[in-house]
Amino acid sequence: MKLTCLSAAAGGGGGYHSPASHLLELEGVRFLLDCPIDLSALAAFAPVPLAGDAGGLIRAVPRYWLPAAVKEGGVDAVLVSSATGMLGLPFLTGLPGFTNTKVYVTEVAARIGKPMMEELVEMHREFVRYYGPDTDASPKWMEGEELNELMSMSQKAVIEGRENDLTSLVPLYSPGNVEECMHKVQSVKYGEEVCFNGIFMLKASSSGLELGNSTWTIQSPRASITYLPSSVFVSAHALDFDYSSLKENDVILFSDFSSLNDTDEDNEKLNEHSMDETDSSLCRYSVFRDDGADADERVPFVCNNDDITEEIERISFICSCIFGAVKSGGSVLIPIGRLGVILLLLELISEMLHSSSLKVPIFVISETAEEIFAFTNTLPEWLCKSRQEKLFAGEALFGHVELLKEGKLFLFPHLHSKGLLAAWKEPCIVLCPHWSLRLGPAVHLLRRWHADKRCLLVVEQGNGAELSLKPFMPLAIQVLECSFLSGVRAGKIDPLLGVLKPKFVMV
Amino acid sequence: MAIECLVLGAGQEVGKSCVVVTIGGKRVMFDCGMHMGYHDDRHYPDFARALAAWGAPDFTTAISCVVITHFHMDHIGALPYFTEVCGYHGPIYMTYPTKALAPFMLEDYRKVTMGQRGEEKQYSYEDILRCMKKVTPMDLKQTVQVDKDLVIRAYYAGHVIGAAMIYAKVGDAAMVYTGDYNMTPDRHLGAAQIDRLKLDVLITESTYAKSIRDSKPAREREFLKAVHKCVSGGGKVLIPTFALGRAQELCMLLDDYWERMGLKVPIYFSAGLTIQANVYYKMLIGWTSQKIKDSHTVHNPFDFKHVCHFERSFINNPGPCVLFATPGMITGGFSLEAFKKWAPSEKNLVTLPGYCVSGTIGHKLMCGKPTRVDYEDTHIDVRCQIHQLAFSPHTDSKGIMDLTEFLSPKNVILVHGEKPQMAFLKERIESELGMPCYYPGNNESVSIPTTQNLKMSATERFITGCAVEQGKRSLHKRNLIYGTGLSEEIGSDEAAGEGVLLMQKHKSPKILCEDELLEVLGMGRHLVQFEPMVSRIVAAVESELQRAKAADLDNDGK
Repeated sequence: MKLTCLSAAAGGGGGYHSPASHLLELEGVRFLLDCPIDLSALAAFAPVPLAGDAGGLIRAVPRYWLPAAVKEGGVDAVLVSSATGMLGLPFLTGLPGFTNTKVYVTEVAARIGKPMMEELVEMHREFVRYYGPDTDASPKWMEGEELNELMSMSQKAVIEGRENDLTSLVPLYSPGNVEECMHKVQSVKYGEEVCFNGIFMLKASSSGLELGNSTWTIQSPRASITYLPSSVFVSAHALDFDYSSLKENDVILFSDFSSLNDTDEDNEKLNEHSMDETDSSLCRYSVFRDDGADADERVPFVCNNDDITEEIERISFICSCIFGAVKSGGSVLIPIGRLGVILLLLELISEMLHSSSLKVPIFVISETAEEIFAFTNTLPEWLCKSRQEKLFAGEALFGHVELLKEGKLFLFPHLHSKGLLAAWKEPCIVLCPHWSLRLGPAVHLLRRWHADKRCLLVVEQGNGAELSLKPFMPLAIQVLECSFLSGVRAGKIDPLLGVLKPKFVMV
Repeated sequence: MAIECLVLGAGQEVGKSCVVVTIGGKRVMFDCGMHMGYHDDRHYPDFARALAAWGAPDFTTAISCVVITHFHMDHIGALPYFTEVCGYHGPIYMTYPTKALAPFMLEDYRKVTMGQRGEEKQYSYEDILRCMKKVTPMDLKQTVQVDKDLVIRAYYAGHVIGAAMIYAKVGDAAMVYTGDYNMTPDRHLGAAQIDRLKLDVLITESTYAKSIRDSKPAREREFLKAVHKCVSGGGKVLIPTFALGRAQELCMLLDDYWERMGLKVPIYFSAGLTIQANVYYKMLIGWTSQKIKDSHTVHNPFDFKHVCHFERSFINNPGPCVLFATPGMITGGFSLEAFKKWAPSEKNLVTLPGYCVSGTIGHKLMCGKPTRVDYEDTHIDVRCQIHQLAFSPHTDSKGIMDLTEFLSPKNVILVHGEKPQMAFLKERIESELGMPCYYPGNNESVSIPTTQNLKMSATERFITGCAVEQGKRSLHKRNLIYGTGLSEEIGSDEAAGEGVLLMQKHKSPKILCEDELLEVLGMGRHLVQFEPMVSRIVAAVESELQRAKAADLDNDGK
């Protein structure tokens, strides 16, 4: 058995947008574990249309880092743990080494992942329309001074051997690549056992982080391995982390580093556990297998729901800031890419607006919004217990159904969509992509509001706010940076491992 | 070890499905239904008798789990009675849609039948709610570990939304209980789907054990034509139906047709119940057919565009309309009220989907066209047209044979059918598929022997030894000597390895090389030598070998 780390969790949101990617070789079969897209290069490009000073950013069609898995040659199967974990796949699936590759992903993650890819392609097209198509030949900026600048800005520069590797910067995939990728997908349900290659049994269980996110169990004749990406014990929307199905597996590949981005206090705790993210080489350490007497006591500790109460409190705080902004007559722009947070935010904001009888329209401007919102109301078996109860009580699963019906929430695919102007009224609250502030409607709206100090921009921490806001200077808009729960808290890792009782943990 | 199938209900009859299977020491109850034709003791499966036969103190210890396949009353009707009156507290499994929709069916039926029979066997609305709280929902294909040994898994059955076929496995013994299923997709549900599994026994429904049905599109067209003709002539269409299943299917059909033909005639749903049911259907769209799943992002097909808000007074309105009214079979309630109003006009149409129990107005209408129906004290002149819809969500005889052949179980048990047809199907299964087939009556049980696989490990030397042997392509049949003193000749197409099977107490069996056995036993080797008496034998063996080699070469050449 051999594990190679292809990329560590990158970008903001504790690896939510770009989870780690690994290559696992087992009994001669190569498994790729997650293949996210690395958007870190995007920050170095100026958003279009250009307005005034680009702030030293590159003015060209952006390029993207090719997933490191390309260099590893072919793989036999890809196990995907989340919708974001498959966004890099269209880069690969057309390559010769991937002709017979099967991609295993949960039904819901696939259903959410595909529109995410399509939306990315669509938003990228705006650049192409502005600059003309990107040819395969290396564009001018790649030779000049600007490249170094890009490297210094992009955090990727620290990874060895990558600096001068221009071949890794490629144009985005096409809609055809997306289709091709989706053809290889074998969608599964939680708890479904699939046989791969005759000797492996693969099983996805819920990880609790997001709708359709999963952990994977790989059972080979000689060992059982758990691939444990970021997990949340009790969720406010997705089905809770099903850790009991991972019990007694021999090896755990623990790739949840979200807690590293948390507070210092957590970090200190983590260091005691001698985990080190920067050292991406294999770090094995054996966990003492205790006899289970006190393992049962740990269960209530790991699955108590402080985390989610905290999360709701955090989102409530954001709501109160939003409320303050709209009350003063400013609009609010929320370019957050997390489906779960968006769904919760919508419910809480509308509650708050309702209780104050303030009438402010909420817009979601995204090509995928209609599809995804309709979809979220039809997947009761993937949701947390309290939302499943809504099904049994005959209520809509999420608050947005009611909001749409009452005309408090509007969904539009584009800013220039028919009917948007008629419905548009400022102040308003807008949720739209993209969190990088380089793509999508967020760019245009931020241009519109950046000089108004009554307005509010809500962004996620860790996305490099300074760099991403650079082209919008000077800034008067208020900026609220917030972080969300995106994995197991450091303090809970130890008890969790105690319950799972693996022989080895790989970090 | 044997699998024991005790049929508590739906043995040689349709109604009160309930089969208890003892598999690998675990007792699983499949379905817990009631019989709608009886109002006495035969109404529920005879639980008490079964309990006495098992010799268990209560149901919770006797039964490992209860699994419900779908929400029809003949599959779930006795569940609240079983949990709240009989006191079963163990796990209960059903799919998400079944759990969501079952309380409706149970409560609806409870209201209708209230006062029809003795109080002590009736459960209350609170009982239904308490009972449903104990249910663990499960997803399709999800492998559910009930306890350490027992594993169950649900497969798509198609019959109604959320219907499932249940696979259960303990150790090496495995079985499937189908519940009701449909092998052809219908308007909103897909066809039954199951993996190729290794089964000891298949328990299948056999409602249509003998008949083969014609194609559905033809019947759909006929229905639409009749409805269209009626409304274009200014008539009213009454469709008496139950709240769940058929109403949604027909409404989808009509809504789609209205859209295509640009019809503006209103479609009404009489009961709030059906509207509420549509809300559930919208959320459960993931359980409908693939076609609907793929298209619903654009438009949820249960968001009926042409269904209008309805009020009771509307039945007196002039002009054409289509009305879905509960209950089906016209046994009373609003469907009867509308029937009384509309039946006297020959412009109007009554469409009867599905089966009608004898004694109901629906049944009378189906058995030839009466001109006058007496109901209680009123006489209704029937001049309207009557249309029968032979839709059934059950599989036909071909479907049952196909599924049985696909799964190729070692044994087949038929339930949920009528005795003569079941006898016919049993003959077919035994002669055409060569599987032993049973159709026990109620309270009878069938015992089926199972195979047990023994897991054994082989030593490295044994395996390398075998590999070398195979390399030589020796065709000699070799003896495998068992440690217990038995010997058996193993003949296969490939060369068999030579070794010793060592079975020791408290240890897993192991295959060893001869030399290793000596090491394990700590004994020296003794040789017995034979002197060949006739050299001709040797020559014969040699020529045999050469022939074999030649044959081998031949094979290689090919």
